[in-house]
Amino acid sequence: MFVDEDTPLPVDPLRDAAFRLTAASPEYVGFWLTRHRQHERMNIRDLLLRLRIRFNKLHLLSLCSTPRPGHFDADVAAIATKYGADPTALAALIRREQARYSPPARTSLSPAPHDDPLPS
Amino acid sequence: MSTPPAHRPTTAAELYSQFADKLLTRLKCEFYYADEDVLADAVVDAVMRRARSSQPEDESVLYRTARDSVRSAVRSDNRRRKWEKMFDPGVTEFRSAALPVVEAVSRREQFDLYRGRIARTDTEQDVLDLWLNGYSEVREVARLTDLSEANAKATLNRFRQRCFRERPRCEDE
Repeated sequence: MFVDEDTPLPVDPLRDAAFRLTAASPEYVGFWLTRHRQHERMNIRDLLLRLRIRFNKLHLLSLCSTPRPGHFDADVAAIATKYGADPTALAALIRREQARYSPPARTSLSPAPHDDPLPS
Repeated sequence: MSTPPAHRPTTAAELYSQFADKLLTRLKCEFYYADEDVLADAVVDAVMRRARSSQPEDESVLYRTARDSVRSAVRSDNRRRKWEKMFDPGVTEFRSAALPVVEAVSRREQFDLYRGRIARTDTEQDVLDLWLNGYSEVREVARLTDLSEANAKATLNRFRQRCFRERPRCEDE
């Protein structure tokens, strides 16, 4: 287990800030992780198990840049190796979320037409 | 013509590992009245911004970026409070537990004045920040500032002497 079910997750303002800020920017892996958690209605422990990563590395993974389209496999491998995540699971997660995502139109205030709604 | 730096997807994470704790400690000393979440947001925001630049590992620039971000957050918070007060005086009917802005600023100026008298070089200021934050063990201070233990001990002793010397002057002021 990467985090014990009964152990409360430690609170750290810096780590929380990393999760919060990266969740708002598609340039960072944290954005895709957050969307995945919302779409799949996962808690953080499920995400740790899926990526086979330790909790104390998850915020660092979130702070990594989104893999570039032309170098996707190399970038995923670099990130996964550095922070001990499962590269296959990470690549699948990002690809799946990128396929679901369409960036909001800049000129309109209405929500993007093809972006599926996030569960509340 | 210089070539652009090679893309590393882990730059922001590495900057975070290297500097985030240190920056947060320094910001806590400077903005002792600000909420810790605001400071943490500023640190991460600075890391994310600096990660895009060509020389991200410049600690002083990183600190300045974070400090500007805190200042802007504090200013916008003050503006928001002012507006709330204007439209609904009931919101701020009771005295807040936090220091009033004017008093906080005046204390801040006083603090800067005494700080300049006690810590006279950049290294001393770093040590003073740690000391004010509760790091009084010589070994710990030496580890966090890259000073030798003898130097860290001498610096802490100097602070104690200067505090003792400055106290009557501060009380007069």
